[in-house]
Amino acid sequence: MKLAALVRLVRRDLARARRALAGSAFGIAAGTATLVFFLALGLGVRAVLLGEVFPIDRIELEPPKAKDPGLLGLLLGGGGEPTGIRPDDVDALGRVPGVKRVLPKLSLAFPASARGGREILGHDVGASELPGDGIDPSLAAGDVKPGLFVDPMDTPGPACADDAACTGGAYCERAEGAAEGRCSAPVPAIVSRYLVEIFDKSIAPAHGFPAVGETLLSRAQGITFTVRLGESLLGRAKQGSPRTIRARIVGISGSATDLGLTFPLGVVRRWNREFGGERAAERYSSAVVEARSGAEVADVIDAGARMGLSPKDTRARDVSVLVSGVMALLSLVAGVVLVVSASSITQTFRALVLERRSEIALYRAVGATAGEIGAWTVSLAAVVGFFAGALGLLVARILAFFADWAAAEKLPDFPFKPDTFFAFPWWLWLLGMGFSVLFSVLGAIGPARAAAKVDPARALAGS
Amino acid sequence: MSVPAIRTRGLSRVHDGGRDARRALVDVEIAIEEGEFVCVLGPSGSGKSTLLAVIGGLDRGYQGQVELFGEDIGRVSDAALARLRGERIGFVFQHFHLLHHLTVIENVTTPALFDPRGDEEACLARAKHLLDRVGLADRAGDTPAELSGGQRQRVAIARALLRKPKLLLCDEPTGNLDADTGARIIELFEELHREERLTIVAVTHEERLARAATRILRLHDGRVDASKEEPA
Repeated sequence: MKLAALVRLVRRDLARARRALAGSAFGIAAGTATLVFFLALGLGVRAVLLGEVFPIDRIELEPPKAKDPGLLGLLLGGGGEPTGIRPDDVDALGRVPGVKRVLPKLSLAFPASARGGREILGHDVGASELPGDGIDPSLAAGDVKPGLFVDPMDTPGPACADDAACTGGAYCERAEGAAEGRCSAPVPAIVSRYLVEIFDKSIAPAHGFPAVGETLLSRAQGITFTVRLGESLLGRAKQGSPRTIRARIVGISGSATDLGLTFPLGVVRRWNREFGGERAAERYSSAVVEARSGAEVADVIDAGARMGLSPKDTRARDVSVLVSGVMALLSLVAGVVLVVSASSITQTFRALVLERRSEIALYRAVGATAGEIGAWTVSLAAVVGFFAGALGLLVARILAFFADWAAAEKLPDFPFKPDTFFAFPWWLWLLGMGFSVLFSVLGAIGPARAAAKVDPARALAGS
Repeated sequence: MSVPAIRTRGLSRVHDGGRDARRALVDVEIAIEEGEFVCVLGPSGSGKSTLLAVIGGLDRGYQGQVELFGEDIGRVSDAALARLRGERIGFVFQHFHLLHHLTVIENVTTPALFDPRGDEEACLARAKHLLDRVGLADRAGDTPAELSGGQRQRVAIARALLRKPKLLLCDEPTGNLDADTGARIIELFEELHREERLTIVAVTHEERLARAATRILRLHDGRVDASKEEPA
């Protein structure tokens, strides 16, 4: 049978049996809508959790913690130094299969404190201890406007002896012992969304500060701080003389350290060399490894373990497993709906075949093979599944839209509250449509076999 | 010597009805040459329709041998037999078996749906020609419900002729028609036989149709009554 003939047969069936077919299509549409809705919800929630809260396709590996010196060690002033990750290890990690890139981090290896924020908070606030990281600027490329998060010394200003020699908000960047320094724009810093959420939800309400956000940050041209390098409430650096520099927050990024400020890597390396020595400048505190996909992270962790490196945070994996489990459970529910719908298709098609025995027999008499009769029935089911799938996808999308609207309107604001709880990647549409057609066809296979086995002689004599 | 259009050897058919198995055909031996117009006469339950279904390849539950145009249909696959039916055999039924959701022209072109080599335009042209031939050219767009019994049977005949079969198998073709309408259908068969040299096998219990045939076979209790085989 030609395809055109099959299309004609199916089209005629859709026209004359639309009510019965619509009834069974409804079940398939409901099952597809349920499946796609839950999967989209799971993917959306997963994207928020694993994309912003606990990124899963990147893992931060760190060296073993310094050994506990014990009571005697403390009394004697001992204590191990953090081992750090050597540049060779960073290169080796980059060669691990499945790794897209490795971006080392360097933590501040000396005490520091900060004070500032007058631009948007009304008066300066201070942090008596400032933890901080230096990261490769490309890590924050997606979150910060181009050119903002770079080492100011990449384009140093005029020579200077002190801050008074610099204009336009610049300060004199001069390491201890250097004959002269160079005027430098405030060092760019980024903060984590987590820190902003903590500030907005806990600290700001307690002190009556306004909440900060991307818009506010950009309108205020960044919050500027003075950072005291080499000195904090708890003490001074073992080497170098404390000095004050200027820094400006230029954005919020998921790549920033959760608590503290994050600076361009070159800046921290320079400061570490000044206040912590050469080793502190060369040994990285951790390395962010980006895998090509979430599935390859496990291989990266294994490779890291062979180098003595371990994941800094396993919450991503735990959340991933939890989300996957919930998604599987909800998909199972949708699967049950689809199976029930398939049995509805079976009933409908069984009735159709029974009703059309003489028509089938006539087709057999005029040259149809049993296979063509079966193909006709299955094709009709596939078309019903296609339309039911399209309806199901539409319903799922509309439901998701209303769920997002309801969440935006009714749910209170909470940290990391997303604009949408759903994700509809292209493959989800295909998957929904595929399942719809598949279950329709599976439901019609029994009736199709029965149709193919209709005894033409008996059916034609039966009228 | 030409190959007969139909030849049966030791043809038997038992309808399995559990304990009440019934022998519909018993050791039937017939040979029908191409171009013959054969009527199979017999009372109800004599096995006429079963014989037609078996030689038309619709019923494969027989014992013995059935050859159509020299091909043993017991040895061919279901698909090959379906192709053979589509290409060489046309069926006309007592109850017409028209599809009521289709128009007359769509009913006539139904066999073309299963013709893998069919040309749509040529098929439509032939359907129109056949409707013209059976006197229903002006009813092509009507549905079967709008036609009389005789008109419906003429549509069924046009459908049977669409793919230019060599053999027309008719099961009580006038059984549902009144005398005048039946007579016109019989005239149509006579024309087709005379002008197109169609081989026609019609089972009936109507003597009028038998008189149009070139040969008459009589069936009684599933057996061909050789003593009563006669030229018409």
